[in-house]
Amino acid sequence: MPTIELRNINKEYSSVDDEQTLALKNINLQVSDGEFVCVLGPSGCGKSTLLEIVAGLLKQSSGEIILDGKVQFGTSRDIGVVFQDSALFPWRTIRRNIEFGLEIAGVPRPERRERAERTIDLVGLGGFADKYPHQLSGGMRQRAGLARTLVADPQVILMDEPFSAVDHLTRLTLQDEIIRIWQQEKKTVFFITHDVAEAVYLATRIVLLSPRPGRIHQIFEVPFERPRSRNDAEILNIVEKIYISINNPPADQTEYFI
Amino acid sequence: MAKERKGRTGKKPLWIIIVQVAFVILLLGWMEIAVSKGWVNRVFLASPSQIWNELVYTIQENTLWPHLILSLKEVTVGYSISVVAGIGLGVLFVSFPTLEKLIDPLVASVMAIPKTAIMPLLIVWFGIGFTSKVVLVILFCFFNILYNTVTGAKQTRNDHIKLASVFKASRAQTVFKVLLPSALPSIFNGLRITAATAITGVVFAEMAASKGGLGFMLNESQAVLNTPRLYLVIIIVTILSVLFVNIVNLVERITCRRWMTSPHQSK
Ligand SMILES: Nc1ncnc2c1ncn2[C@@H]1O[C@H](COP(=O)(O)OP(=O)(O)O)[C@@H](O)[C@H]1O
Ligand SMILES: [Mg+2]
Repeated sequence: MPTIELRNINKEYSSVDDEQTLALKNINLQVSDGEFVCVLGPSGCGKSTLLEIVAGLLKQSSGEIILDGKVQFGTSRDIGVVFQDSALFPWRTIRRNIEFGLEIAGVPRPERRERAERTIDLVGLGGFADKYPHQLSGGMRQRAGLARTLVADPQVILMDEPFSAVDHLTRLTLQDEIIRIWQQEKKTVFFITHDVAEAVYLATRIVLLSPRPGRIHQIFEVPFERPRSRNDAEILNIVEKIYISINNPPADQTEYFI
Repeated sequence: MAKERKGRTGKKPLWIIIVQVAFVILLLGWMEIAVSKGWVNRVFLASPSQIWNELVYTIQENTLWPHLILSLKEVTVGYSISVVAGIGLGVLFVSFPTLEKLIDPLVASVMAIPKTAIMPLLIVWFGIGFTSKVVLVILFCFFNILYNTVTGAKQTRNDHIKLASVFKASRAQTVFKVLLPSALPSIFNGLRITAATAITGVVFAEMAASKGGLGFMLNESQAVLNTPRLYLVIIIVTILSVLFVNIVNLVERITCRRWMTSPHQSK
């Protein structure tokens, strides 16, 4: 059963000099309950645009987003978003940052505290709850950003290159963490990245976008069991297929590269 | 950032302090001698001892307190009204951008008038007493605080606004939980600048026309060529300015210290 369905999504940006940029063209995609979909593509191909449309933060030029059979307009408490550089409020402690969504939703304080506490443990932030964001490392901040989304218990979690600002080793740890949490909490994840290895390690399915205009170039199934090994022959095989696909853009675009 | 911090809280080398203190002592010593020996005309310069004696005298004669208290009252009332009205209207502008578009040209044009040029008109409208001073302080401070509130809120990070939207925050929740906290450093910058301006405004207004206050004392001392008293009042006004700015700094530190990486950063 599809949780989110993207039907014929097009997005055109108009700039100041009345020039139209087609950022997304004919995006059709169905994401089922509990899937981990990675959207992969080079910088500027429309990944963030797509995520913001699904999140309801940006209006598509045409097409529909359908969530559990209903057409979506605007943001929804069923869809959570994790931002690239955590977007924590510097004036709130980690705990109060995590509680933000619950506070907005009017969840009473004792329940807020309890749910935040549980999520703080889930993402491994025990002992950091009363610190301010500037006192934490980039990786820890990203955990807090994830916790803020998880605690509100959305059905679907959207993440826009959430690990691109942390160092490589931290990134590997966070990848393992996100898989653990995804398995434990049984969420549907829509994860954006420009890192092929990251996509193949995480995803159940990879959507490869091609740039200008952004459209779905190819979809790869990644049906392997977890925990995965980064150096498995099967994994490396898919990585190779993706690189081959990236170097063979859609037919009507080849002229671009000659 | 780390460097900035060190500059503020770290210790200066001892020799720098010694040189600075020595310089001040030398200057004061020179003033004392120059005036008592008649090297400099007594109308131009007062010696530290003369200024001190003048302070003691004005306190004994009870000529200082009434003026000081009056000026302080005018500043406090004018500044408080400016803070409440400036932040209040700022919040309204931030909450209802249409309102801002509607009123902004009017506010901007009033703001563009050199405030000192309005003083004679204020005297005609409000007389030479308390009210005209308070109104001038408000004119000096209100706009600055208003604009710092609004521009501060406009500097809110884009992803913070998106975040509020993702959680479906209401307009009031967005304003009070996201936009205003983001504007706080900018609001405090406005409060800091206007704290000093408020004192300047009051003294200027009192000098223009009044029956009392530190500015009145300045005029009066000048008229009778009481140079030590002129210096005394200038020193008092300076101390008040520094004091006011430091009160704002203290309040800022109490509200923001825990989360701000450096106490005076503007963003
Ligand atoms: N607000 C905007 N106005 C005009 N063009 C935009 C805007 N935002 C993004 N674009 C353009 O749309 C394309 C896709 O951008 P984006 O979704 O940010 O790509 P990605 O996240 O994959 O790097 C880019 O070519 C970018 O220049
Ligand atoms: Mg992007």
